[in-house]
Amino acid sequence: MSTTVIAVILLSAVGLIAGIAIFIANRILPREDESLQKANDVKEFLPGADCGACGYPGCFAYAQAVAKSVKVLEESPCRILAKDEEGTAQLGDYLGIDLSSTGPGSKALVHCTGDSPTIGSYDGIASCAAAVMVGAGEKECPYACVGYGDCVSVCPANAIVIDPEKRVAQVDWEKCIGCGMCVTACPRGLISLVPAETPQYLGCNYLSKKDVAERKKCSVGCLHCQMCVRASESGEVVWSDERDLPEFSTTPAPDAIEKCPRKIILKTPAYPEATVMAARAAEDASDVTSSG
Amino acid sequence: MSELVAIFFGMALVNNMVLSKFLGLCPFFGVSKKLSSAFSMGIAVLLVMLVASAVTWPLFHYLLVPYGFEFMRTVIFILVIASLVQIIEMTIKRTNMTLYNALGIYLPLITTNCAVLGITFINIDAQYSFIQALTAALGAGAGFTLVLLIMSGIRERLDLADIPRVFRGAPIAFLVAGLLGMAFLAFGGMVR
Amino acid sequence: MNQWMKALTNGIVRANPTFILLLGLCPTLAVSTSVDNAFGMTASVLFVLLAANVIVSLLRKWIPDRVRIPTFIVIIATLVTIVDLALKAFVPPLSKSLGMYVPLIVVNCIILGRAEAFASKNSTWHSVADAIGMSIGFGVAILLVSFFRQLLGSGSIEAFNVRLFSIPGLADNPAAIFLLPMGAFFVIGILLALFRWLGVSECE
Repeated sequence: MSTTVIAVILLSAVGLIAGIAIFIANRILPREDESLQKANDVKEFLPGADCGACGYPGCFAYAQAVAKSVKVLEESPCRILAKDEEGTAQLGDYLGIDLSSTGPGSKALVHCTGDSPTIGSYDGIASCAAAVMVGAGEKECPYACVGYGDCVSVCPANAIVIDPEKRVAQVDWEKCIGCGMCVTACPRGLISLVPAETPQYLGCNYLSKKDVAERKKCSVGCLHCQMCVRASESGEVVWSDERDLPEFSTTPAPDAIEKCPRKIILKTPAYPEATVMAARAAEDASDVTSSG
Repeated sequence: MSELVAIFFGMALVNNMVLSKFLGLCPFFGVSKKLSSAFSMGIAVLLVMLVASAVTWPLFHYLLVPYGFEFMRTVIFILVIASLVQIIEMTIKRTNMTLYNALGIYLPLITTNCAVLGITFINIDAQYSFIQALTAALGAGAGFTLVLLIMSGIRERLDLADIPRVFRGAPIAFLVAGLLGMAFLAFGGMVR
Repeated sequence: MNQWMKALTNGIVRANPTFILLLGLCPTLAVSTSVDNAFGMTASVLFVLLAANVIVSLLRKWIPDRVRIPTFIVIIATLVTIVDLALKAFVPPLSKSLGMYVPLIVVNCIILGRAEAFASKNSTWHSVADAIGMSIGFGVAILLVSFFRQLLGSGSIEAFNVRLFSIPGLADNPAAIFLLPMGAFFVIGILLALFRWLGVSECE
């Protein structure tokens, strides 16, 4: 037989044997764990960000857990999915259960205005965790944001940006999914997770009321004057003695924001501008009518 | 025995698959960003290299050579490797979920990996015996894993360094690989 | 015609397989020790890519989806064997110089990638354009790398046994490191950075 024919036969034979080997392997190996197929399907509905906010090492691991027991969805919800109504509905349809997205959830806040002046220069590993180990940081305030972006690199939603002039981190609430990875990443504990309806927050991370001398040096931080507490008529702002800082509720406190001498009570994207202005206008109008 | 040790270290260090022979560069630059995934990929490649060598060597010497069909080796080898990887993936998927989660996802990537086909060719070209071929595969896989681990460690650290914008990502990775290759040159005197 | 030209130029600049897609690095770095080798490798890749793209796009309607990849691999492997044997027969020195990197064209990501991404979904005529474009892009890349490696590593450029030019000082004391594997890494790293700086490709 000519070489060509033998070559073709040889190739076909090897291909056939390989195919048969795969077929036999398919038969004699134990059945594929059923949950794996289901896990693969569930994974299609998950966002695939592998952020770890659910507590599982990645979306596939979460999908495997969900495939084994649907209770996982309640016990450790997927934070990204919780904001996506359509996605949640689709997953619910596939699993045959009723899932409802749990509302807007939480958002991250960086409690620093970044206004503290720079007094030093750091030239080492470009990481916040490293920078805070060599001293009190580059800024006058020893509790301020260092600005090297540990939070930025850990955020799975790319929601944090570092303002280049002020060297402070800022969270974009439209992108933030409230997973909380930035909270643990910040070496100074500047970031906290708050309910998404929170309208204002304090731009100061002053941590201890024992450092009285430090407090006097600080040109931009909280004075602890308690003006905000006095200015809020309906008790929207209360003073926390243990932290020596004001605490805000989810009610807007426009007077406190105005009266703060250091102007460090900042509005969040959830601040209801329109409602507050309308309330003010109504108040002024009723003042006029009552006095007139 | 000493010959086998020489082959092992030769393939692992002196003639490292990635740094001297340029085989397996795609996973080298793709998977080496995290230490854990680098290790899994390395072990997966080692496994496939061993099995592939064990199957292709007898196939070549007992089937192709006696009938004068050495020229068919490219096609036959690649077919065999593709099927082997398929079977290995199936076996791991169905018997050990933990192992599958660890390295199963890298297995499909290894089918078209130059390193695996490369080692089968090297085994033939260097006219190794069966045991020598297996040792060479073991050494090559070990060397690949080692370099992948070192590279991913360096890359994790590179992420924090202040690299000029045009060099970030692939360019600096190549330069680092070159430096690593220079360092590995030192092993040149090891195996006489 | 426009579409055809677009598919052609795509592979040269916009989606250059080596510098932008970062595919098929193994042969680029391995054989780029001399310009001769570069030409040889480009010619081989051109043949295999062209033939593979044509065959795959001709058969695209009949290849079942599940056995897509193995089919492509068998087609490419056959073509590569043809090229390997042809090189051994007609240009033995080149074949020896290229060594085992010719059979390794089988697993070259460029060829499998283009078969999968382009040829299996587009007409034969456009697949031809894509193949030629990608090969030219690959050729430009590998020639560039070999040019620098050979020039710096041996001080002169010799192509097809004709000494084209040599740099006087360098020819006596060439920087031999560029002929070694790590030289290839350095050259391609710097070239990639250069292209980014010139704005040809995006920074990460």
